[in-house]
Amino acid sequence: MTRARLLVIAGLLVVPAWPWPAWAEGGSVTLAQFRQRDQQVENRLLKEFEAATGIRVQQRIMPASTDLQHQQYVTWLAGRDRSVDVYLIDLIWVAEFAAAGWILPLESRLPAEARDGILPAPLASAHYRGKLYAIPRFTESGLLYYRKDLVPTAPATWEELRGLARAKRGREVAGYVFQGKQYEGLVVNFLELLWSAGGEVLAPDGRVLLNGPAGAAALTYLVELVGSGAAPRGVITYMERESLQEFLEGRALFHRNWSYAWSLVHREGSKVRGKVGVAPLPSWDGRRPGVAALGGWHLALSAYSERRDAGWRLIRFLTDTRAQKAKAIGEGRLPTLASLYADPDVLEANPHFAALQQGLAHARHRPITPFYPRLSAVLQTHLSRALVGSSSPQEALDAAAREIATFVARE
Amino acid sequence: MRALYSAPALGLVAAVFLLPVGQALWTSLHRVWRQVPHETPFVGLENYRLLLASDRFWAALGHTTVFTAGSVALELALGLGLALLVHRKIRGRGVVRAAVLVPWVLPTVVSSLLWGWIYHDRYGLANHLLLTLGVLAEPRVWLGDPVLAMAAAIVADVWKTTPYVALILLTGLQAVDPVVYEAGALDGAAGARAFRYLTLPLLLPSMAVALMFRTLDAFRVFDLIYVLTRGGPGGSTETVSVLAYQLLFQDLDFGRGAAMGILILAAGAMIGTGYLWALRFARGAG
Repeated sequence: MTRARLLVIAGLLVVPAWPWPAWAEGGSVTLAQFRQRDQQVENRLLKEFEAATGIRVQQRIMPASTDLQHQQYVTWLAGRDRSVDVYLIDLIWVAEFAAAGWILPLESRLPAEARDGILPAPLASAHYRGKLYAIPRFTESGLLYYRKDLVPTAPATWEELRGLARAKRGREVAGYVFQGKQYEGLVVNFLELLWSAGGEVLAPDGRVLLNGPAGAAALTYLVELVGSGAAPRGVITYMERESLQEFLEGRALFHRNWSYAWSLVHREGSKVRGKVGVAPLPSWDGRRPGVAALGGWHLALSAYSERRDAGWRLIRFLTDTRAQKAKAIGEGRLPTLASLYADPDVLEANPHFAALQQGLAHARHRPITPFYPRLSAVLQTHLSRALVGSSSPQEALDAAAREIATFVARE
Repeated sequence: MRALYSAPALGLVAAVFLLPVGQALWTSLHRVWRQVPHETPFVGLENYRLLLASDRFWAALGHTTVFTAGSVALELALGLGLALLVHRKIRGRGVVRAAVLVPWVLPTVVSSLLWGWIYHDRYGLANHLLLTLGVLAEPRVWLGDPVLAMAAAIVADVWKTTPYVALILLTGLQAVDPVVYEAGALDGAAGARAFRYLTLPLLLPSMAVALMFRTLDAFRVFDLIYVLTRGGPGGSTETVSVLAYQLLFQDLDFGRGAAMGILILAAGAMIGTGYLWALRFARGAG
């Protein structure tokens, strides 16, 4: 290797680490988040922010896998890393990060009138012990997608869904495809059934209620979906991507996924375009409506940030009407501000938003406890054991409940 | 004076090995739950006791042992065959030798994703091949069954690391002086007998090295399993490293995670010492 080349390489290594002088007036701020669906939309927004405030924004692009993001964030925050100011976090981490003292309460920073505009479910999920710790940036809820060309109306109950899935499936088209791999998605699929059946994971006092009759009924249903052939056996290995792939290929009648799947179903070139209906998740008993899980991502301010005010301005900018509108139109992201669901420009770009908003109104967030990721990991293993037949649904839930009880009350 | 010369090396070892291990050891003696940051009491050996008393730990150790034994045995057998094959003077030997190394050169995460698709129940190559050949009547969900998932992980690892074993054995083969075989032939040792009485004993040191490296590597397997199955289904492929990762980064139980790390380190040290000891014993006996 020539000396010149070595110098260039050395230069490349050194330059990013060089302490660049702060941006003329406002300094700079670092935002950690996964690559956005349309990064150009995001970059335009950040440019606007820089122009309006004089604060330079540096992005740290995270891995796409949610677990790897969690790992990276934990590594930084446990090491009191001061280089990241604003984190885009999955709503299931809010309580954990808040309890660990890693993110700052934003209670006093957000004016009351701004709070009123935020959808209630996402707003509630950004709280821990009555205090606001994050601002919802975009949201998601679980939905039932179905092939309206093959099944004219969506099933009203889960029982009906199972019957239809078994009766109408064919050689090439499976019945119901959900997320059954041992990971967070399996927990979400189970929780939606559990809640719809009237069950709970935890009592308000921290007791574990998971293994009650509703839990056993919900898990038995899930296991029998696979056992009866209503769902293909392959779902045991599917995460969101694989299960959605089956549905997009026209290989399934019913599919549970987040609201973001809608835009993929209707994308140009989709094999099922125009053949898909979307409905709220079915009811358990035909009386109470089905309960969908709430998903979504919030912006939070690092407790180790030395540029808190700049960080806060960025959070406000990105969660404000203007930015959320741009994301809704440019990326099809569901806004967290109620007003945007009536905005003509947003609805023109996303005619389905009006229907999705109803699903959001009934969506529930997963248990808010600092131990949620740990609780979920326990559930992932035991739910998966029941699905592959290593233990009965009741045994699996009893074992999970015993394990969860050893830590969840220690808050 | 001589001690002074080794000081930089010792300092380096202290900085990159002893310090972190010491810190992990210290953490492992405390209850460190990041969700409860203001309480980190000294708990003695409690974290170790909890681990050693949990079914999950022993299950993970069992899975790791099955994975290690299965993959290392297959890799050694296939690696030996491969080494003998590319050792012979065949046409295009250089190209073959380079091609053999490809699986090993691929980053594990990439090859795991690749194998994930091979095992896919509907689009996967594994089902396609076995159905076409008539071995299977029905497609299998390879990663959806506890036993099959472990076998699938072992096969993926064997595919990836057999070249590495072959490479080490090949160097061993090339170090054998051809004169040995000529002398053997004079004494009536040819073909299978030459392999049994000449090649194998002379290859023993290389085999021991390959075995030791592979056993230690397989014992710490993480990325392959994590990408392929995430330790599932039903925890059936959760190895000790996957468990340690889980404790640290999902559970945020740093104390128990550190204890798990120390236990893995201890097991690794035992495996390494065991091999060195066995090698010395074999040499002494031979």
